[in-house]
Amino acid sequence: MSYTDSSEMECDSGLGQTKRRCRLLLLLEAAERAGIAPLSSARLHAFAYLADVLSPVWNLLPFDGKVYKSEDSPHYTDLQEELDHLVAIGLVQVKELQYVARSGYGSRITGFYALNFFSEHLTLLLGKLGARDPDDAVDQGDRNLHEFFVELAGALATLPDDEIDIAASVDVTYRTQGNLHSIVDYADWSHDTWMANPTWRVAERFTDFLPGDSQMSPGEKLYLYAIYLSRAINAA
Amino acid sequence: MPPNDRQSISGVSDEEIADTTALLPTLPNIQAQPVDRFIQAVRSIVEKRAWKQWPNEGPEDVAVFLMVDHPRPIGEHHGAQPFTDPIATTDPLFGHLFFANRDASNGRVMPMPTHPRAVLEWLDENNLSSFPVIIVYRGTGLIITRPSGANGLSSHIAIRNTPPVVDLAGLHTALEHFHLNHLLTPTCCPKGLWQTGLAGRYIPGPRPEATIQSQLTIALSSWFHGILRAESEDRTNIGRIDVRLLQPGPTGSLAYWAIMELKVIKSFTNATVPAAASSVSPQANENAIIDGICQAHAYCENRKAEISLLEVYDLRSDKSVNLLVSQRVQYTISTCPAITSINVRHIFGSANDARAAGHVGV
Repeated sequence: MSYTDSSEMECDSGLGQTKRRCRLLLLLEAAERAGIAPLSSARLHAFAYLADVLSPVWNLLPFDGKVYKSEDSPHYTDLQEELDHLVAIGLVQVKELQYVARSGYGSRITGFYALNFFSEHLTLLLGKLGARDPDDAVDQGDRNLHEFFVELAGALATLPDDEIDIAASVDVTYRTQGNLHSIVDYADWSHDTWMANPTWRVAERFTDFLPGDSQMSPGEKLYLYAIYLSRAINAA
Repeated sequence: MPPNDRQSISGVSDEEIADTTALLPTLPNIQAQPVDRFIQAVRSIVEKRAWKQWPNEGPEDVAVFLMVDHPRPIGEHHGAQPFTDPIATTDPLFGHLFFANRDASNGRVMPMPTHPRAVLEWLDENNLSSFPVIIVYRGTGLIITRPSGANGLSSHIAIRNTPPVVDLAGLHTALEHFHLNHLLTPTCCPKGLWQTGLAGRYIPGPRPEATIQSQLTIALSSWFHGILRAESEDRTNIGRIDVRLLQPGPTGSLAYWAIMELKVIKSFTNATVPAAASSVSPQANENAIIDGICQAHAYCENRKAEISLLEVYDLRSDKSVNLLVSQRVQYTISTCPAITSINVRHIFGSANDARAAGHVGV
């Protein structure tokens, strides 16, 4: 069984918690490889969200097929809770931890998160999750997921720091689907995930503007989508 | 899988998607191996700085780029600071050591920790010798790459002072550079071109065309990075091996600029022992060239490319017979006007043979 396969996820179970923690470790590991760690809270949640909406480009299922739409960029309270746990057990380090007041919504913990490479358990765990030697992985599917995260992190690394933070808020699905303060569902309950996920449609539509039988790899689609987000940010 | 019947997307401008797609040539070489991707990225950074006469650089002459798995912890260990996007900024390169990701876009940077001449020893002493390393020398205009790490084999790339020209002559320059630096002899050619240990017997590897194709695509991506997109398709079931170059056309969308068919002519078929290798007849080699001409012509017409080339790589032990002058080949050329040029490039099974043929610097 894959640590990060969402198909069997039970959100409130211990298994769900474990999967969220494994996912966080892989996201942070990818950010480390891309050289963009430590990640601010906003950037980490943005990365998690974009990994979900862009997962079909890599022929993967999203971990979470819905997101709460607010004035800010996407934020996952359950993911944040597991992130806090990872800090507590020493696998993740946090710096500049602080409370940030939100207008009318209390406050939110923010900080800058990175893997704690001094943890004696981290290397072994990353190996089991497919982020190191191929032979160490418990499930080869996790290696594919890790490759996807690394490529996406590399694509986001091409954006200036301040643009990464707000990239998710201008994402096509987040921007165009659903109403403010409601759930945007792009894969959980939707029968037609293609139509419900315009981010995926944009990433695939790049190929429509290539000539003849010219091809584009999934990784190139991720990089182009990052450029698209940057242009959207700068046009706004 | 996405459906085939794509439509415009509500709230998204098709023009914006098309404009973004046209930036494909500016992307890192995502299809290449990480180390090739890294080399191309560093070359692109360095040359773009060179084309702007090295803005903000001081008197230092050497920059070192190390591709590491996790730039932050290694960088922090050495007191390095974050760097971002050196292709879009003008922070000095020289006098610095970069712990970079595979796109050389982010990571950590520190002042050169030792005398530039001792940097490889410094990497060794600090357990960093296993990471791919690139050393850039501004004074001599050279980029020295060590893909296997500080103690591995090195090769060099000359820093170009002006952007490459996109025309037929510019393409020939790139192809000649690739031939001389990446194919000419077994010491510089990619694994798989020759059967292991049998280059001196002129026994090719199992798929020499495909080997050349993948390396040529990487080389052209690097040479024309930011200007052209190089891509390849390997459809050996119908006998075609090609490399295609795309650039933004008059409307701004990417269009085929050049297509290249690749053919190998050889003395022997592939085999793991010399006795098992069969001879390849001149007739068969001639047929390969004729096929290549027809394919290059047809594909150029079909794809409306400006330029159509046939690149023939000659792996024969005896290269004295010029197959291009045969009546059959000449007749085929006369019936295929879309062909822009045909080049035969000699590849040798040993450095001695290359020298004997007049090649220097091998």
